[in-house]
Amino acid sequence: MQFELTEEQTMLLDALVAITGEGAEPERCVDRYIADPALEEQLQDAGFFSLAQHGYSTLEAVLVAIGIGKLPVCVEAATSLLIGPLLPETVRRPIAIVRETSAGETSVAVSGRSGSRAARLATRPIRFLSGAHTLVILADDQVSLVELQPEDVRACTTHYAYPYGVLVPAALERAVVVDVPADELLRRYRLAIAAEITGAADAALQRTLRQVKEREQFGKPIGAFQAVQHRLAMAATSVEACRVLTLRAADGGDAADAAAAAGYAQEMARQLTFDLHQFSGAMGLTLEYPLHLWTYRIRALQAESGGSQEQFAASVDLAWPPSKSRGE
Amino acid sequence: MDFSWTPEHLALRDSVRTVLAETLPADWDRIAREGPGSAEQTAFSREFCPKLAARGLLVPHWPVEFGGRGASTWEHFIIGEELWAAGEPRGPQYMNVNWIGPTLMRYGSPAQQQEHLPRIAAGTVIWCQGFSEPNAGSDLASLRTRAERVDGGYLINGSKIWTSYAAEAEYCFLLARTSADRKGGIAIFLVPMNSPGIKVQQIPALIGEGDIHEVFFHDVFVAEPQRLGGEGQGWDIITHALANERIGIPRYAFARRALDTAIGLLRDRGELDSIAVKARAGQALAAVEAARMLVYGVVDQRAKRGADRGQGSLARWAVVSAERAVCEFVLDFVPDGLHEGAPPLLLAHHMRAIAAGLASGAAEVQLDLIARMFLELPRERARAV
Ligand SMILES: Cc1cc2nc3c(=O)[nH]c(=O)nc-3n(C[C@H](O)[C@H](O)[C@H](O)COP(=O)(O)OP(=O)(O)OC[C@H]3O[C@@H](n4cnc5c(N)ncnc54)[C@H](O)[C@@H]3O)c2cc1C
Repeated sequence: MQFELTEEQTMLLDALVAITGEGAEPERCVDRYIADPALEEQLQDAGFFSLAQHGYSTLEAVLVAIGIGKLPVCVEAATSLLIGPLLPETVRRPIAIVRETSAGETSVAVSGRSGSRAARLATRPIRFLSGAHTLVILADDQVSLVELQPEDVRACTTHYAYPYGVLVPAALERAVVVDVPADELLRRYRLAIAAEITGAADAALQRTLRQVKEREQFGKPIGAFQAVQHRLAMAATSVEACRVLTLRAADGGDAADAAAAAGYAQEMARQLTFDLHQFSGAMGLTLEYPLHLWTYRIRALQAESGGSQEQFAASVDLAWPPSKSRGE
Repeated sequence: MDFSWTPEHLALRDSVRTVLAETLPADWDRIAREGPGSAEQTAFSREFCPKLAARGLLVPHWPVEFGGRGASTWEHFIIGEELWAAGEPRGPQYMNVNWIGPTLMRYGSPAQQQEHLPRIAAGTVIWCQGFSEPNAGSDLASLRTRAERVDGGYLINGSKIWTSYAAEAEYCFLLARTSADRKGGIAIFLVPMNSPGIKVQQIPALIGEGDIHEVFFHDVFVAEPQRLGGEGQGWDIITHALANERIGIPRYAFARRALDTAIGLLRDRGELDSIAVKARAGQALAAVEAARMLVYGVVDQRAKRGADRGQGSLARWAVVSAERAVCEFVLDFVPDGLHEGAPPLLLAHHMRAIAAGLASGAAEVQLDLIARMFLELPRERARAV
């Protein structure tokens, strides 16, 4: 049990910060999200999206995904870092992923399960689809890929802080099944969700802390009020818990741990985003104040892959496999 | 960063489990239901702790000169985690080995060390902790129990409340006031509980039998050599002593067993299929594992002698949240767990869990500490110091 970063991990994260900076805020942000193609290219060139190929572990990939999640700019990193290593080497990022669950399951992963596959997959906006080169379709026991062409995707305006797109049904005809274990891909998908929420939540909390220390009302910083302090203390506890659950799940490789980490992250999102906006006052509702850059990523991730209920339920099946615990 | 256990740590866990398998009686879950302070569990601890001691598992973390073998922080922690998960067969004696002994090693006179440490290390003595008073709860420094100087020692007058294990204890680690100075006027006394003038009354409660008591002190004479440290040193000593205990007991480990039991029961009844039940079970599981990992982080920090910047309080809040999540899961989905006939572990957990946010200090005070130490937020108002 060692919680300190190894020297190599410290160097890796230092190298990341050398490229990204400490996450300085944009001078003006009036968009729902900020893309930074130059930064993305630098990260790509430095190998940050393909750590596994350079011999780094899943834990290290998660550390980097958390680090990139903290940035005010929106970069598709977690999926590439965690799911990328399972896919054929020819696959190009950015990678979008969508989970398709069969009807009749107790799963709530995708509602409106009835109807054709096209109706299930090609009606709903998919995170990162606009601008993605690859779409991963994760079904219960099968993984397929679509190599995307510009005409496959209809861009879609959104209130969330990610680029979204809607798949054109014809693109599904080019979906190819790949020989990748679906359960392992799902485990990694959950790690990616948990890592990205951890990073964004950490940054959103730090930004709010700065605000409540600076902003004064009633003759003192609003961060001096115990009502505010206690909720921030609980927020900090959940962010730290989320971080360590995610890192442990990445290190150990246990599928139940990954589901628990993702469930924890998605559940935490509700209280956290409410509180952080609340403590930022009306300023927190503006586009010029950067909080939304993280909270509207968190709010999008909160429902990903079925949301916290789905991950929690899965963690129970994985932690107490039906045959084993009978008669306990 | 590496979240796996070393082979030595795994072997240690195994050896503790072996002792438990060999020594716990068949009806142990029933004995352990009321918690560490019940007469039955305390009596059991007087047999069990000497066996642990004989196998070098009671005070391995103590220095060799006091009967230990200088084992690591992690070794001590792993033993404590396994034993708490098992229902705490050390009874009240977990307190002795965790902090009373180490405090005596650091601040005690040679005579005090000679009198107390061998008995603690042998596993045959029960202590209680006399801090809280009717008017001094979270604001402990406002305590009023007086220690007045008389020839050869002190006369103690006042009362303590919520004192765990008092009815079974041979000694009390007592805080009393020698002057009006708020923190500087507090001293510590190692008081034999059979001293004339002490009256103990159990408080009927929702938590286990024998846990909490009132202790009345009427002209109790305590000889000068029974004072631990100097007259004005009491506050500093307990601040140090309790810093060692800042994450408290590994409650999440027992919570996990209660959750295991509840899940097993629900599955046998065919009531674990709905997504609503599973989602709540998973939420409780994640809360338990979150608490476990934050506590491990603090243990690792302590093992490396790192400074606590509020992480201990984060971990305690997570532990309180985990206790609550499991407690509420059982109430919602296994409501009969609190009736006669249910597996005793469920009620045992309930009675422990409902005290989690209070025993060893109110959780809201931990949130204050997180705000100040971890988030570096300003104080709301100047507090009395
Ligand atoms: C099972 C159990 C065993 C115990 N064993 C012992 C023992 O062996 N020896 C001993 O000395 N004591 C013992 N205690 C007492 C324990 O230390 C106190 O309960 C604790 O310090 C809180 O004090 P209180 O109960 O008087 O609550 P109070 O101080 O009256 O506080 C009540 C509530 O008010 C709120 N509150 C208080 N202060 C603040 C604040 N600053 N900011 C915000 N909210 C606040 C909190 O919600 C708190 O829970 C035990 C308690 C329990 C439950």
